[in-house]
Amino acid sequence: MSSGDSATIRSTRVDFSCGNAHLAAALPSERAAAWLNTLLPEHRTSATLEPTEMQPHSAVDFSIEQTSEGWFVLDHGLLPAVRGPIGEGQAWGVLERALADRLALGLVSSLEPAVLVHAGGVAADGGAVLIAGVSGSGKSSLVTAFASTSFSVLGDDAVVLTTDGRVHPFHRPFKLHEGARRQLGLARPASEAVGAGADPWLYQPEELGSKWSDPAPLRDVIFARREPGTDARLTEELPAVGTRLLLDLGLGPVDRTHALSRIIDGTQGARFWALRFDRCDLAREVVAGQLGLEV
Amino acid sequence: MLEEAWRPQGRDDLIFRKTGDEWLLYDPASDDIHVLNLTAALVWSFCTGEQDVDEIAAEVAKAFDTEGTEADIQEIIDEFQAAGLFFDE
Repeated sequence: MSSGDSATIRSTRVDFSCGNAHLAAALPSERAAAWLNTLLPEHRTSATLEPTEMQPHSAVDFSIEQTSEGWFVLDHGLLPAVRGPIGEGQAWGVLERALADRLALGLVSSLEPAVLVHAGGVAADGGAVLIAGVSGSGKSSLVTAFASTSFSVLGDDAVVLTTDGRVHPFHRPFKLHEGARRQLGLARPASEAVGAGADPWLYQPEELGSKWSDPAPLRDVIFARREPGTDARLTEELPAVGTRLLLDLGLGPVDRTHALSRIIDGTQGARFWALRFDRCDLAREVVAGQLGLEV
Repeated sequence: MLEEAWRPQGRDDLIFRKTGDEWLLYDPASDDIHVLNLTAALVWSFCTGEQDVDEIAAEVAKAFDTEGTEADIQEIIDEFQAAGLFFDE
């Protein structure tokens, strides 16, 4: 791995505020802060939800403070319309869907040596394996298949890659659609009890028999594509091709010149693979066998 | 009067980075990524506006300790030019 500048994301503070009477009623500020902290436990997070008379589409401000450099307001966005009273579980769902990626994007945009990658990730044997792909490519299912063995998890849809070649977990519940849930033989998640588990179902790693990983050095990047009826097949890709694919799948920073440089730095020494698969269990066996991973 | 030989000069907004055994040349204006092998990467590194094509070919031949590469080098430079990677003449 290259020896780029090391990331210092532990000293970051995230402030979140929005004005929406229905959200505020369903999810008081202290609960919102607690929820945000489950997403980003390495950061000190606070939240303010003001019960105002704003329009249903309410503005959201993100602020990020880096201790050495003061405050930054990074983003102004809109929440989906919340037009009537909602339950706490629904409020979580609204926030999760609307803010998680934006929050992470804001974070990595503020941190010079990081890039948010549109990939799931698992860790074992001291190394991280990223599973990248477009939406619907089977990332979450495949990560979940690994999570049910001895692997810890870094994320199902997004992870943070720093230029020192380390992958940082993105603490967001796993999303699995009903078909994947059935294929993997999973029970309905506990989150259903609070109403946040509508399809796609939201799972915490512990519900999948796994746990969140610590940051881990990147060793392999797999570009997954589900092709019904095919046997699982893993073929090596050129780093140049893989770099381009990761850039195209990238979530941030928006400036692609910076994103490319960070991806190149962060993936130095990693191997790139293309995976065609149908069944997750077979794909897991093929990947583990070819990459020399113990499942 | 003889016309001065063209000295190709790569645009300075391009990103030129090694990854694996190859090099990437990213053009932020077009969002194109060009993948260069060792020879093309070496040619690109000489496209600084200081040497003409013959001189670049001589540098590359010297680096690889070989001869007769002029046509290949010209082809590579033509591809760079067609892709708009040089400053305008």
